[in-house]
Amino acid sequence: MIKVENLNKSFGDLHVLKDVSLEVRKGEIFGLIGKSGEGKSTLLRCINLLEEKDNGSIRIKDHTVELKKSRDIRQYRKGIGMIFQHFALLERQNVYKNIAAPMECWNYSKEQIDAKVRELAQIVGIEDKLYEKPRNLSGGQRQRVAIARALSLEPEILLSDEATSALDPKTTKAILQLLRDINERLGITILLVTHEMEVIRSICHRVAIMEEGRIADCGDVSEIFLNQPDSLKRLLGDESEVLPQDGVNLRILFKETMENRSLIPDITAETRAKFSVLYSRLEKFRDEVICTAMLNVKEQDFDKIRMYLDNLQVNWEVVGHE
Amino acid sequence: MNDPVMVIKMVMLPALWESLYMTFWGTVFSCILGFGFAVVLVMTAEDGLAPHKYLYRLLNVAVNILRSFPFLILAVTILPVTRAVMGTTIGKNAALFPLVIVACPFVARVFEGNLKAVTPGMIEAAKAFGASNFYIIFKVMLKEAIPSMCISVTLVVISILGSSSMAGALGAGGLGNVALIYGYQSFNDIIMYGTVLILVILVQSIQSIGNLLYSKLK
Ligand SMILES: Nc1ncnc2c1ncn2[C@@H]1O[C@H](COP(=O)(O)OP(=O)(O)OP(=O)(O)O)[C@@H](O)[C@H]1O
Ligand SMILES: [Mg+2]
Repeated sequence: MIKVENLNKSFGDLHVLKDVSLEVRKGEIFGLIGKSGEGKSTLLRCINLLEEKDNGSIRIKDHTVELKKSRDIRQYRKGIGMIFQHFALLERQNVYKNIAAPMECWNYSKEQIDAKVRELAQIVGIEDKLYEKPRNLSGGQRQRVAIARALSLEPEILLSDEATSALDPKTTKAILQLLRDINERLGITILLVTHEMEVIRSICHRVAIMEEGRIADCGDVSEIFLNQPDSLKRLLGDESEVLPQDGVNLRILFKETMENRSLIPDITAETRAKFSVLYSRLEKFRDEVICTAMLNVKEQDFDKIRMYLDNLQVNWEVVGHE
Repeated sequence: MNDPVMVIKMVMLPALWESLYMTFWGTVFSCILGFGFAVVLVMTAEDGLAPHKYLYRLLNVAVNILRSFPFLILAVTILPVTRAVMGTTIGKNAALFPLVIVACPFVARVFEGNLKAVTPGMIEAAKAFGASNFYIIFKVMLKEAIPSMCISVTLVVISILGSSSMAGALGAGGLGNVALIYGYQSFNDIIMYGTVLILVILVQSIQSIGNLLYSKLK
């Protein structure tokens, strides 16, 4: 749906995007995560031409985007909705007018606008607030209005720039759920930018990790979390774990399924090795559950356990101590 | 000239009317022109919708030059132009010309500030749904800036009222003229302080109306 290839962008001497390539497939929610100032917003802004790229190519639905005339650029942007961290609503207009603004701008008829506004208000759950001014709404409600506005021209793509960063955890969850609903009900492809792992975990199908203006890793969310590439570790920060000094500390990661529910007791049963479980936790990724466990095993048992895990194709990793 | 009723009827009321006339039309014309210049300034600025370095600089410098003239000096300097344009240099209509010339760059500056204060995020969002520059200027920036522009207009009205009183010294008529001729030069304190009182009341009312509008519009 969106294919970015070798995109470069500099502001003066500051080389922000370095040979960025990524592909967002039709109908998926694609997350782009990275620390602050890595160029995530810049990439989004290049995609809808709010920023001019230096070189590289952007393809939408197999058409190379190479627009010069302002009329064409406006037409192109019409097909891409966008939402922002600070909502960017018209403060003096009520919710109805805000949702209607893009349609008004594109000369839709009054009836068309009215029907669409009401339909969208229903979808995002603000039908009782249509005649309120944005300043009387909570952050979550404002973002709902912004989402409705972004959907009003029926785009096939929705770009979201830190849409939940200004919201509290509970509201964040609700907005993410809304984005997921929209993705599933309307089939809109969503490219979202965030610095919160939670956002990626809860709704994204695939993720790209951005580091210093490059895409460091990219793939299915659960795969990335199972494989724990260095970029992900750097993003998560060192979990300064307190680990025993003796023996081997082994971190194992696996997708939870019916068969491997009892993986840890099975290791004991199969290998007859004794070890201690330092911790184990379950995390939800969209609809999959990934289990992380930290074992402390004796040196002499390490090989047996390793072979057993490899056999089952369970990801493991030795975690050193200082 | 000592019968208060006669003074009010023959001198004060016509002068008040002339002052209001000059202030009103001065405000209308300078706001229309000033708004136009403000839009051009905002659009052609480096971070504007249609950056244009030379046009911006030209306008910027012109505005600064005009703004550095005190009203009285400019009004005298452009007397020949006033005569050429308005046909005369005396009276309330002739005074409108320098009033507008002086107020216009001032209006351009304050409106420019009002328009620029509109959150860039809103403009960005409008661009993102494919809005034209026309739509962004009139439906986003102007609409969002209206309350603060209202405060600016209040400022402009008061400033033009002040200038129009000064124009009285150049034969424009109005309250300034009365205060000078009938009050100051004829040693009539009642008339002089009477006009001052009227001006104070006018300024107060204009400011109150402005503030009221602001809070209504916001
Ligand atoms: N218009 C601009 N002019 C100059 N530098 C810019 C401009 N826009 C962004 N930058 C710089 O580009 C870099 C990347 O900015 P960008 O906003 O894309 O980061 P980000 O990854 O979105 O960060 P955040 O998570 O804080 O939003 C930053 O160093 C920023 O200062
Ligand atoms: Mg950003």
